[in-house]
Amino acid sequence: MPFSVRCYIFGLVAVALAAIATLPLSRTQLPLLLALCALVLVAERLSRVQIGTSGWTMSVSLVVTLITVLVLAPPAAAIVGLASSVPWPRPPSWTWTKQIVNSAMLSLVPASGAAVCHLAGGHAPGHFLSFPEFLWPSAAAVTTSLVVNGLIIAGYSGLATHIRFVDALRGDLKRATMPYYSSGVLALIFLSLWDDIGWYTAPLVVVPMYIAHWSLSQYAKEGAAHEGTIAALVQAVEIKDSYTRGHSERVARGAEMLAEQLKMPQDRLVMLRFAGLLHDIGKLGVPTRLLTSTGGLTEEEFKLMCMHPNHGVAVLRDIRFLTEVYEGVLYHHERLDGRGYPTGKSGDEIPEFARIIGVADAFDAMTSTRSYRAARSVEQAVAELRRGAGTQFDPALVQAFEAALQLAERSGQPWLPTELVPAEPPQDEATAAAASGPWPLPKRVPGFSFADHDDPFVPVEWFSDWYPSWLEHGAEPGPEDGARPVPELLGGIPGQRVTEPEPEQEAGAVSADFDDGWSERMHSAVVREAGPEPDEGWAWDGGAELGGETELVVAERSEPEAAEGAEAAGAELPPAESVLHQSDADADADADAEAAVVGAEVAPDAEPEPEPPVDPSSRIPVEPENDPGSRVMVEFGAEPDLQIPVEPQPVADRSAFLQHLADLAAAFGSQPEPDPGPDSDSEHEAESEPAKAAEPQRASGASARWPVDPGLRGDPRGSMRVRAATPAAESDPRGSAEPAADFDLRKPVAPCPDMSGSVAGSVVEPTAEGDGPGPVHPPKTGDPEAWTPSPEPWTVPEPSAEASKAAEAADPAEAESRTGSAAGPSWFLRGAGGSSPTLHFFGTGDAAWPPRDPDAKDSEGSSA
Amino acid sequence: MNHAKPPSHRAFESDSDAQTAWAQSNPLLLVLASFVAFAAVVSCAVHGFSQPGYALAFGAIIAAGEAFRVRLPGGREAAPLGAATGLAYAVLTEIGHQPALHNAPQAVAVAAFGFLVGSVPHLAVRRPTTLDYTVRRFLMVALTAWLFRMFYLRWVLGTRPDDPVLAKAVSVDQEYLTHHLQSLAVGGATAGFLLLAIVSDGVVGSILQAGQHRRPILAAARDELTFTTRVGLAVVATALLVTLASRTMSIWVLPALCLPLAFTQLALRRFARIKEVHLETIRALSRITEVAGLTQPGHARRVARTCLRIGRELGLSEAQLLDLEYASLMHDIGQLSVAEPVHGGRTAPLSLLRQRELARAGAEVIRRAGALGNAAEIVEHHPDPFGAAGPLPSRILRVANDYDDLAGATPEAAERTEALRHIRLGLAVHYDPAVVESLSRMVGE
Repeated sequence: MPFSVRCYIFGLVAVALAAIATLPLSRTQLPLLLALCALVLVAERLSRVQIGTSGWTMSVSLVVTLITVLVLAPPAAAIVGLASSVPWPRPPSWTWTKQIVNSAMLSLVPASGAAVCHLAGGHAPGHFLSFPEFLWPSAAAVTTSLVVNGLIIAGYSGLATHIRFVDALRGDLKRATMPYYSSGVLALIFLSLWDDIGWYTAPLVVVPMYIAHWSLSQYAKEGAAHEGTIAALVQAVEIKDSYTRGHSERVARGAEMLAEQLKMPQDRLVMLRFAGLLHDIGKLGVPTRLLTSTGGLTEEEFKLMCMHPNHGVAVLRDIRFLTEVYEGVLYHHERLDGRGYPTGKSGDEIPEFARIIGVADAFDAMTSTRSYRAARSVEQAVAELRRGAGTQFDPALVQAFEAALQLAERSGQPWLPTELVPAEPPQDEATAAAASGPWPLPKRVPGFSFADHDDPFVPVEWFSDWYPSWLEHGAEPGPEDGARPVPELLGGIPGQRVTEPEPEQEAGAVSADFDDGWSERMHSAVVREAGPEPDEGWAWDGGAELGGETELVVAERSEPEAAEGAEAAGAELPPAESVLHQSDADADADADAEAAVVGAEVAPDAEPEPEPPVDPSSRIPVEPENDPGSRVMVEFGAEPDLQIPVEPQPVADRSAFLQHLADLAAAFGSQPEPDPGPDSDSEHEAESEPAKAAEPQRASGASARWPVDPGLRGDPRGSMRVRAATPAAESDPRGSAEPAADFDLRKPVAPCPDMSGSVAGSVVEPTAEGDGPGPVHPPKTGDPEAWTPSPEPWTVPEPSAEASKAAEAADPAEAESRTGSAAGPSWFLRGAGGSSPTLHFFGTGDAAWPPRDPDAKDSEGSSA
Repeated sequence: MNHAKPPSHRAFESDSDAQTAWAQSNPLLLVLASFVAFAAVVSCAVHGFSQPGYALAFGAIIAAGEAFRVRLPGGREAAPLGAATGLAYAVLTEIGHQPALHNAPQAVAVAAFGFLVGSVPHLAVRRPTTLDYTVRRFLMVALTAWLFRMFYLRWVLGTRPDDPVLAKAVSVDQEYLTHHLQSLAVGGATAGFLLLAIVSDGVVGSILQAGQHRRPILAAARDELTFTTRVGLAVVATALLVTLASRTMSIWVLPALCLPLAFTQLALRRFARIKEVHLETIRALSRITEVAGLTQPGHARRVARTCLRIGRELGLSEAQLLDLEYASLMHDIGQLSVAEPVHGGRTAPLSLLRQRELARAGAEVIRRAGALGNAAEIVEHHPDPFGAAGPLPSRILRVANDYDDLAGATPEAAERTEALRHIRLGLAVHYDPAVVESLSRMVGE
């Protein structure tokens, strides 16, 4: 504590003690004094409420204190004030320092008021029967109390905190005036009634004041609830993206700091805080694949990503009171030079909120960990902000933000870079290479992913050649007419339609739990329904959660050669060939190839009956009502009890395949490499540039070092799919996950041949038809997981929360097969390295189906 | 391209549609109030106006209180200042050591003037609000004035403040009226009349509520009671204070006591505003799942509307209704954290286990928000079949959700019937029969 603050407190206490010490005991009405002390304590106990979120509290005891001021001598008033400062119970933020300051202040305030009242001619017996003469001394006393209160608090704030004295005084007077004069009036009426009619009427005065305080406290509670709700929802949104967890909260804090520095009024500051919290809420409308991919974004994906402010506004548009928040969310990626998105506003056209959030957003992005780098220091980030001032950021705001940072540091709450423990296993070069793939990214912004969309270190110049083109047509669909922008945008982008729903998890769960046929009945009711399938609507196109199939189509559309390769592979080529022809991040095409492999090789021996192939058009944007096959799949999705074991691949095959793979990799290394994009930053170059020398074996060997159970990383789908596909794949979640997932999706668990046919078969035999609804499969009996109907259905299979958690911890595979699959996690999509999945598919380990003991498999796989 | 322009707010509840205030008010009450006001004015015109200065001051304060009345979330209205001043004028006996000489019709006429003038600004801007609350306040004041001045002062006490004989006696002996009136008994009686006024207002309110929303009368009365205990007590206490303190402080008591009441009204106003913002925010954020492509557009809000209607009909309290609204708006939020999408966002066809898993995830999110009352619990239990005896709001939510999943956004009559048929098939095992009954009444309309 600084010396000046000590002196200040000491002085306050000395004056307060002096005021109390002058109490003339002989001339004091002790009963009155004691009664008032008791009254003030009771009032304090019963009615102290919090006003607002600033920690400022109020109580009906103020009325009692002012009564004291009007009837007692200064020393006695000081004693009553001292009694009112007893905290009961102690608030959580209680400290001795605060208590001493409060006690001294609360004694001095009534003492000074009483002194003024006395000087102005109050304090005469029977005084309160002579109206309006008693009004003036009373008014003087109340005003004095108010001002003294404000001065003492402002003095303390000015010395002990960074708030300026004048501001503190103004703020305090603003908040306290209404309560003080209201309470003063009530005190007057109290005394008047007491003298005039009798004591029994006097307590009435407390009721209106109590109600006012109650309303204010409700207001404070509601305000806190409001903010809590928004924060919780934003957290729920951030669940999807581990790197930006807590980002919104920090941006809100940064914006708040900045606004305080700019002396923004309180109500705007609150709004700005909301804007900071909500600025990225539109990320929900962006497919998860984009959020989590670090392999770069294609132009279409980039456009999609640039739509997130519009999505955010689509969520917020109905909130009437948030006009500025709305602007802040929509324009927070605009740049001062007009090269931002979504509209390309420049200069002063960008609303202030958006500029503020832009600065805070970029700053937090720089000072927190990203997948491709550690968090930068505050100094580095500030330097970068300064560099971007004038082009990207408002120079005045950057300056103010620096000042705010310094202020925060001085007041003991410095901005700390957010170091994240990455959600994925640690990488060494080999894994990193495998993850980002040994293939160049011809059409992608290298290293640019959604996680870095705020980061000024990822220069927008990289994609500036795309910029004007998309700005012209991409900026057009705005949120003017509510829900429209999304369909327009997404409709305009080929291949973003979801072609196939993902039914198998739902259906898979059916057999495992309560089922008296009700859910099936409901199910059929929904599916039979005449309305359009939800897939058709725009809302489904966001596809935040939709995994493989969306991507599949994108890949096909955006990179036809990859798809071609995949199909070719499905037809005749050895699998590795197709794998190696692809670009790394095209997990989809990769998966496609894998699926083709499955279709070509496994199907014949694993499934006795030939797969009815499907028209390939069902895989490109299908209007689902024309596609009964997809509905059938909804109904008869994979059921665990119908799983067909995968035959383990012969070892000889596998070694031959490895050899082949190595050859191909060598061949590929000599191939001319497509343009990796105008890459100026060496750091990103290192990151995005494929490690061409990374051989498949090496990559897979490196990745096999992390037998981390993907299920433990909170991504049910990844782990489920890995396990479900090939037990051996578990040793390498990074590399194998995606293709295995697709393998899983396609082949083995489908009870209905149509389903596997409709997905995998379409690649193999595109010309055959047969996408009609398959035969209805009755529920299997005899399966241990299948539930047998019970007379009391609701009592049946609900495991307790603990039990299910324990089960999940013990056996993620089983838990996952219950919960079903999920959208890809970061490693899942990033790990699109083409080689390792294949290795895993043909890997060791008996592919017992379904896997029962994942841990055992893990150790087995890694040891092998 | 003007994205920045804030969109016009689309009203969510049908009852806040831009109808005129007249059309929304109860015609019976309106006619009654007009008749009473007219009779009072005529009576005043015949018998003359006493102490016009005081009357004007009280009328002005009533008008100010009405003009700044507070609309609370849930459609209620509070104007403690206007009501308290009107009541105080009705039971005023002495002012500045002089008897208050106005009779009952004058008190009623002043109140009518104040309420009418105070309502003008609201009518002028065509605020979509009902006049019911104003009319109720006016009738409350009129009833009190009549009971107190006509019945109590004139017939029970035998004093007629407007009696010239009495005025003469007071001018002789300053304390005459004090001795006569300011006894504990009279004070108690005054308090009793004021309480009676509040209670009768509450009864009228419950009847109106019950008629409007087809609510059980007891549930409506319970809501009125919780509401009235707070604001109503402040009104009664202030009216009593004005009556008592006006003896010494004369007309100055009005501005003095206005200050704390204005403070109350201000606090209420802020409270109402933030509450509204909160509800609106939750309504908007319930669209998160839609934007994420997880649920059908408008699903949450349709379910919320259905839930509210059913809940009102089944007699949920206002707090429960609010919780139910929160819960129904956010019941699909669990689909965000469970990383795998539900096909079509429709939870109705899912297995119970899966539904429960989603519900639990959603409840977790809501619980983290901290202050949404029992919404988390409602969401958590909403997949429970009827036999599992979840709380009533959960059972309502289950029926409303499944109905909406089955019927879709804009169902044709046939689709509605079909959906209802499916719901009925699960009656008493999956769905609460009472809720389904209420739903089918709603669908039938």
